[in-house]
Amino acid sequence: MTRRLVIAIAVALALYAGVTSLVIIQEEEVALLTELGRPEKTLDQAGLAFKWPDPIQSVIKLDRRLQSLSTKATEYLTADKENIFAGAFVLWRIRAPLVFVESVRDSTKAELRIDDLVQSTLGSELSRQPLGALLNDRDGSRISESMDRVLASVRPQALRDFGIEIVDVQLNQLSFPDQNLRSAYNRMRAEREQLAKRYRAEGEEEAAKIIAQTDKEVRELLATTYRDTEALRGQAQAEAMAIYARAYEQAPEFFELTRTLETYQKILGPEATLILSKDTPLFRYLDGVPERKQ
Amino acid sequence: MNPSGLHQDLRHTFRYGRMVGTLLVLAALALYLLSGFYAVQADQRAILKRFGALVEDNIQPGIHYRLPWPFEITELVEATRIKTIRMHFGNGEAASGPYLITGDTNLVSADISVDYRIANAAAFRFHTTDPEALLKMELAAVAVKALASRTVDSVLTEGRQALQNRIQVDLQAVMTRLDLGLHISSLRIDSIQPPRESGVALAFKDVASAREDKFKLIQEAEGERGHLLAQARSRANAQVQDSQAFASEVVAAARGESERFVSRLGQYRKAPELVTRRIYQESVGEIMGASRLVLIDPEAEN
Repeated sequence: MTRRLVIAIAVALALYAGVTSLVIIQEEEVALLTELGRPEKTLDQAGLAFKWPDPIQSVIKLDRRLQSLSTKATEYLTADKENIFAGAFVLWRIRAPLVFVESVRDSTKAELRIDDLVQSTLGSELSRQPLGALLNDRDGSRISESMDRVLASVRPQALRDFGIEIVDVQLNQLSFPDQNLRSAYNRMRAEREQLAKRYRAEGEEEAAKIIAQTDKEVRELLATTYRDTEALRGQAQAEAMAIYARAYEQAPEFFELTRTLETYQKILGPEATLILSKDTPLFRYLDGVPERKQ
Repeated sequence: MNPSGLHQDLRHTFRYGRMVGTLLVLAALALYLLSGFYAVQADQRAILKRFGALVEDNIQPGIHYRLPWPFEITELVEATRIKTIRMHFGNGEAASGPYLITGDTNLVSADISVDYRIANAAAFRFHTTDPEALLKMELAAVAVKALASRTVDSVLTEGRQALQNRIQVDLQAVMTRLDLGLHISSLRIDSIQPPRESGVALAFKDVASAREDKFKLIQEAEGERGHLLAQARSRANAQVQDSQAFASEVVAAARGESERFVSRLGQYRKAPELVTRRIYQESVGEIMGASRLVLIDPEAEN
């Protein structure tokens, strides 16, 4: 009976040893081998591994994948004393499993530490420059540069203290804090009102300019027309005069006579009253039959 | 009962039972081996792992065989199906982020949706813990940067398309850099607006109508200008016509009179005395016939 018991116990122990000396490391995992509780080495090759059975050697499995952590978004003060509301996220992975296990042990604690570290670094980075310098840039590279500085500053410390590699820090929230929103709205509205006013004033100014220009053009046109038409009249009169002159040259005394008589006809109409002397040559026959002269 | 009969029965049963047992073991073994068959659906890709290590990462749809657990396992990933995430930046319960700030420190709310699919099953599965959550964070980060470098006027109007393209390109670049195994098939800005609070949106609308007012005023002035110019041209034209008419008249009259003079002159040359007298009498007669005439006798008056 005791022999059988011994055999049974031996078989059970062998089974236990067999099972616990095999380790399956998944593709997304990295394992830390400990010997009597003391970290011994890192198993970073996925697949089957062998070790001494528990409790002589045991493994702690860790996630080797990239993990993301949202830091709590909060208020920061920029160099020009603007309150801004900013939040960042951090991409990290376990790089040195030994340091990681000894310092923070699990991901939840690790994230708390990273959160603290990143937030304080972010705060000092944001306070170094005015808000205007962070914004208003061609392709957002100012924000990238700032975040690169934050990354460069937290990276060595995280690796040294927690065995964590911080891969990236990015701002995913950037706005004004709630208590500053109202003044931001008011400022935006005032800017828009001014812009609207400017547009309307520009419209009026432009319209007035067009009308004034038109007025000028109209006056210029009429003046030019006056000049041209007067010139034309003058030329016509000159031509007429030249025609008269040619006629005059042919027989000045006869021209005088006919022109004078025509002028009389023009100025003396039916309304005119002529008071003439009976001695006027025209009336010389009025007194009687003329005597025949020699 | 007969003891030897019982013994025989038992022996019989035992032999039968052993046969059944063997069959059962064989059946179980067959079932175990058969459990290595697996199906990959049309919209899926499978990843094969042996003792946890990646062996194959892009097994196509169909029926396949692998070694049964625990030697090999497979994971199915929905690789070809297009999925969508939507993010709302703004105030309120539904917002997944605060208002976005523009380069000229204005705030805007925005709705952005992203269509994506899994382009690399292994990368999707093994490079990050939660690729889809990360996609959202990166989208927000890309949007923050893109908005911070643009003016509010540009993103609300003609720059919206460029903004959308920029965000998509940047987001895909991040996906590639981090090797998340995701492909952005399209990205849309569904809406982008100024905040509704404190009349901001209304003020923005008024700017748009002020811009219209400006163009309306200018157009009206242009219309007025056209009218005034036409009026002036017609006046000028009338004056030109008038002066041309005058010129023709004056010249024509001069010619007429001159011709008449020349023809009379012919007569005059032949008999100057007579013609002078006749012309004089004709003209004076006409004048006197038309006017009132008073004759006085200078001698009688004296």
